Amino acid sequence: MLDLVLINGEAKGIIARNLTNGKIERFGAHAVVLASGGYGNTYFLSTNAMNSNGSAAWQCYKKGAFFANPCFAQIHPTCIPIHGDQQSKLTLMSESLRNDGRIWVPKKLEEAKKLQEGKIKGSQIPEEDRDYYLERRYPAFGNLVPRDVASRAAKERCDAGYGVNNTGKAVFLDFKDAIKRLGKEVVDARYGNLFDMYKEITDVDPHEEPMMIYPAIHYTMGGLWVDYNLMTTIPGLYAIGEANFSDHGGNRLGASALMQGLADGYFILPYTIGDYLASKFKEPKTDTNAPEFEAAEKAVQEKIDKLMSIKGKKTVDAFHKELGHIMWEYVGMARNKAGLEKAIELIQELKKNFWSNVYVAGETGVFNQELEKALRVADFLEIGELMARDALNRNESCGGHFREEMQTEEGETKRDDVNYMYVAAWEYKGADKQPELHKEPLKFEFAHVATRNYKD
Amino acid sequence: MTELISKVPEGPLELKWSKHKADIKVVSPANKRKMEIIVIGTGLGGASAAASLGELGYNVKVFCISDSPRRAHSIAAQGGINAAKNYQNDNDSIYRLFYDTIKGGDYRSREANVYRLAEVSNNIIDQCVAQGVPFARDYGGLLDNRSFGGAQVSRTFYARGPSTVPSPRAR
Repeated sequence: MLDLVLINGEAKGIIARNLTNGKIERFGAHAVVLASGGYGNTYFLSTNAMNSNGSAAWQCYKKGAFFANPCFAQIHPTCIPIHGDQQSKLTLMSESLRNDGRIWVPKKLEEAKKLQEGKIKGSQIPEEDRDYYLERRYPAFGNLVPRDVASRAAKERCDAGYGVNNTGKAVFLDFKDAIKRLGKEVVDARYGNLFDMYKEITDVDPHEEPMMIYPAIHYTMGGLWVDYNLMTTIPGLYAIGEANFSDHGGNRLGASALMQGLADGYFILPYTIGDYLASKFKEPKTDTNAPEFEAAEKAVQEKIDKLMSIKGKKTVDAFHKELGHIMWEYVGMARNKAGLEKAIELIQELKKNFWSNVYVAGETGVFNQELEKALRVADFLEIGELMARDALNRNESCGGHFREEMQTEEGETKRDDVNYMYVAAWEYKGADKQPELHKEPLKFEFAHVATRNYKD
Repeated sequence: MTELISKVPEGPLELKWSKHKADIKVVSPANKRKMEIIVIGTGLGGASAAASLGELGYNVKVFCISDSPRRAHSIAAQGGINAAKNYQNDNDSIYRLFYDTIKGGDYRSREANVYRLAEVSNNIIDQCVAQGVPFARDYGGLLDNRSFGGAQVSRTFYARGPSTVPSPRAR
């Protein structure tokens, strides 16, 4: 989907590019439902499939749908660590492993150093020299603290020098005790497929040696703003699942993404969309020859022609990687004012460079994956900037959004309910113009609002 | 300036969704047949929406960017799906799932939406089981659960994935 078509301000269709033959096609409807997932691949490296992208949602934003809480991105604590520059995606190791696996790093720096140099293995470190830091810091929830908490704790240990692999950016996830307590058979019945997967990728058997894991981008809580009916600010345009913002706030709990996708798709949208369509049944099928479709298709074609005509010196992937580095460095697990301002500047520069120096191989009007990527990266550059802008505006720490300026003495998140208990919904105002911030205040009438505590 | 109107119904939390469902309009079967809906995406959200809308009688056009819908992030998920069934008898409830989700999200999500999510979570499991989703079962054949972060109960339904040893029943 390359554009949303509005007629009299209502969503009436889309412009799509047929991926197999490159043809630009028009589709009309009485309503459009966006279930296009999240924008985690803005970071280049993530656990998302390489195809996953934010373009459909982004085109809707540019047509007037508000984008809510873009800075809320989830960094999953248990992924296989990055191993080099040529990697295109990361692999998740399921959170279920934290049911029985214990997370630790060495207590002594010199042992961490030996691990980093490859002189010893994790299994050689005696029990008394292991720091099960999640159990130490959060005794009530232990290894099952929420993802944002577990990710930050891993980063904290690695930043302090206790990382356990050659890059210093990994911690152990250990099944030694689980195997002792339950036996190998029970552990295999629970996690056998995950153990196989880990071994295939790393050539290390998790029965013998602890797994190495590190946080990586996995999900985005932000998305198109929707009302209780899951309709965006554009009448007739709905957003469901990861594409909307509504259910997970600053951090999503494990196994709740599938819950939300199916809740929206099976039990909520089919009812709420009727409320809108009940007033539309007299309208004939949308005519895709309408001037609005004409104009949208023309704009899409011009964008494609522009991209193809640049014929610069840098590949699409090179730009995407560079964006990923900026995002991970400044809009990642720890953010601060100066860094976010720098990120906005760097992304704007990169965007300018992209539109003057990108090289898109192949031709238009045919199967062309480079062109697909180029269209998506063009959008990622803009999404990244909005994420940084939103993160800069939200001068509090909450969930996965950690502002270094706002933390407790123990390094925990410090929320600011007086000033930021709202949904930040951004309105597109045009290219090269600053988006406008709208606020939906959050009222908690039934849940008791408190500081999150996973310690006791 | 566009104003953000959340349309959250009035009334007690646990009655909002039922009341809202009763209040909103419906489209007759004859008219559903005349209408078209576009669904972008074929992950769990898009696929379940498209299937439900199609069953209702709407004409649905679905769009997918991958060579197979199985590439979707939700289809590739390893963990499982939460529901407040309380099958483990560990004092789970719709309210507890709601509260864990609100707290886990650090009080930045919309209360009424989250409660509704917890409320319909149990329907999802029934729907999936009826469809034949191969959720993991315990030795006695009952649906199994495990725990995920941010919860002190076991409420995650899951599938074990390809296992090297076939289950007794499969044999």
